[in-house]
Amino acid sequence: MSSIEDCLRDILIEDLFVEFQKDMILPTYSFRQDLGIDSLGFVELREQVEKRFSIVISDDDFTPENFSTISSLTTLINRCCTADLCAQQ
Amino acid sequence: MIIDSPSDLTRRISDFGDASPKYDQVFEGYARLALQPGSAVLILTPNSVEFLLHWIAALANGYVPCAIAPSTKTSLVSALQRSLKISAIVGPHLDPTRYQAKHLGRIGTFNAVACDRIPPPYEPFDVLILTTGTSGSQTACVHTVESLACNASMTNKALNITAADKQLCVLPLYHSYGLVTQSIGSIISGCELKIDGPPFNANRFADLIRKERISICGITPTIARDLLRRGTVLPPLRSMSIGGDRVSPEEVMSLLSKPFINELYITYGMTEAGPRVSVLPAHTAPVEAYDSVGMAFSDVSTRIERPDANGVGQLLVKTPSVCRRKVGPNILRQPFTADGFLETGDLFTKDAAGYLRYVARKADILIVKGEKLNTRSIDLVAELHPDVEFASTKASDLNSLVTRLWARDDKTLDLEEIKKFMKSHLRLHEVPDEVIQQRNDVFHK
Repeated sequence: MSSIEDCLRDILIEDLFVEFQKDMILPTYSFRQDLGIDSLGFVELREQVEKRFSIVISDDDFTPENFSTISSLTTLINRCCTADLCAQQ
Repeated sequence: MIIDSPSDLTRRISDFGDASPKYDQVFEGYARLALQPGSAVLILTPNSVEFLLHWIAALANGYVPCAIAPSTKTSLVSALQRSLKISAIVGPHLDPTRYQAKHLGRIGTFNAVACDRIPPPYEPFDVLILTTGTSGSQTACVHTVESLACNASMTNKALNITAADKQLCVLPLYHSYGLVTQSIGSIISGCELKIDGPPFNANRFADLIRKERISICGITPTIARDLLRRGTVLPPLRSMSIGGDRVSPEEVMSLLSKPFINELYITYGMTEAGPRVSVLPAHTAPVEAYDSVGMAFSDVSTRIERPDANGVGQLLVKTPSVCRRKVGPNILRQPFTADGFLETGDLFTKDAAGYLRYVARKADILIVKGEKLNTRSIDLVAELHPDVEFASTKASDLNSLVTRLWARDDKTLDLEEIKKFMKSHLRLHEVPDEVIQQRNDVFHK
């Protein structure tokens, strides 16, 4: 289990109060279909991800595709972190 | 007509998710629950075609569907189970032990739990639509499917929606606007409907309109403001309708200046009325009417109750799509006058031409960040915390909610911990942006 995925599970449980046991949230679970996250939930998820990973998620990246599952959001976070690193070098 | 629609519905209505199950399987799934006719079924599912299949299949089995946000916490679902006498709950990944349920089944791609057998307090073809009650004591309107279809038909007529249109729904289907105005409206008009879900993204919205050749869409004022702020350019739309909160005359003018909006409709409604009551066709209305919610539909009567010197009074509405009654805890009386008008609780004026102008809403109901909420419910949750004696929640501006707290025994409150406590009990839009401790010598009542 990657640390990003683990952290996302923490956000889902601690900040969005998703009523799942942590180890029951699969990386492929749909945030909408399986975890029931609604429009304000997605706004909260974006804010918490930005805060915990010290990244900025652009409006263009705030899409249902990127915010589909833990796997897709992990890919986005990795991309944002890489872009930040490149910008710092 | 709605119950007979599923085979046609799957041809005309689509979403962006996986393929939906067959309607017959969903219908059979509800039949297997073997509930008494008139039993209420709570449906917690995200925006999708499958949600509509469930809603219709529940109706077709003689049950009473009640849609609710899929993010609803177990504590609220349990409270609803008791207060609205819910007989079954349907949603993804339901755990029957949380609801003291005995039976776990599968309907479509969702789980279904049947709760204790209770005599159903509703009639077949009734529909429950939740209203802005308190978190611990949610209220609902009991409509009939016919009254909802009637309202959708009046709205279609006022907005000129026909089978030639293609509608985009980005609003939650558990709210009356998405469910009745857009979904049932599409079913009975014969038009196509594309359902999308959160998160809302302005660029994606524009892409969808272009790729799907959308001709009409309904949005909230919050989304409209977001589009204006970003300067989003949409592909040409035959019509855009806005409802759910106030739109300022300046915003109406800004929207009308966009070349991609041919017809702009500002609507007013409330769940109890089915929901739409009036419409302002802004593209043809005089500028002086931009601060109004237009005139009532032709089949709807309105009057201002006991107007003051400025003509301000409660708006009363008589509509063929009115709810049968309201249910839930703390409903001490039904909101109807002796001559059959619905008491809206909203203060309005009505001019000689019939234009209705909103003045104020009932004291405890606010709209913050585009979502309706009941401040008393937030206070009640804060007061559940053992260190809190009294709470008072107010909107500090359009997008910010502040809760002031008075401590028991002059304690110094751990505000972060209390905010976390409140967040665990409230829906996200109800969580205050700021929590402040007030000294106990500051009088709070």
